[in-house]
Amino acid sequence: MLARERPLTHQLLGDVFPNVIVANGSAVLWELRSLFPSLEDALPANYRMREVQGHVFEVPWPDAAGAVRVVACPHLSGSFGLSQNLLVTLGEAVRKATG
Amino acid sequence: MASVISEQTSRAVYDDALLAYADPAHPCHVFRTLQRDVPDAEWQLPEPFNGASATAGIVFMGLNPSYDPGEPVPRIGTSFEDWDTFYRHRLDGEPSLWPLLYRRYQQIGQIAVGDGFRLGRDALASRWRATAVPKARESVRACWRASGR
Repeated sequence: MLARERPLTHQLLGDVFPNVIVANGSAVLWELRSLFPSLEDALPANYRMREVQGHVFEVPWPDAAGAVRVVACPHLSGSFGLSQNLLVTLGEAVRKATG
Repeated sequence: MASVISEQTSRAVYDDALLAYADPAHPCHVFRTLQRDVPDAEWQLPEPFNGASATAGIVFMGLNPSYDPGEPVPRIGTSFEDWDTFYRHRLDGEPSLWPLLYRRYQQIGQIAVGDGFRLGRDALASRWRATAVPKARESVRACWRASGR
């Protein structure tokens, strides 16, 4: 990620302080490691999205004096379909993360 | 938990978008040329976030830029106030009329939180700084190539 853009994303998340971030696609999951370095340790080496989709990664967030849960989600777009099974899997992962 | 994006942050995103459009030295200036079928004078400003709050503490974060030549979204020349208001209230209307991606976020939220879940109020839909996307994707792909993925 371009270094100049990272602070704006960091600032945006810092306003909201979400408990849960749903990372839509491997690229977002990959980039979130720059904001939450512990995510790098939590993710399996050479992960593939198919293997981690629906997983919830809890990582420290010092700015929030707590933690944030990152839900790995395959790339969702309006351009292609989404199975009902995957929809339910993701919904249940987010429920687990918010719980 | 604050759950709301501040005006200061929103304005910083807006200012960066204007800079990306106007300044050839901006690393995201290339994005100005990537909106096919959109006249340059009607360039669609980047989509920063959608919704007014995230009371359930959820942010859906995507990466790809989203644009539709025919969609009535804020264009270059739109004031900060109008741009900011548009995106904070973009999801106020009937969900069946939302872009498909946001309808999917809504479905996921309903499974997770319950039928009363409402994207735009209980969760925000955000982008990882959309103006950066072309270079960001190149960067990510380069990383994947380097790591053998």
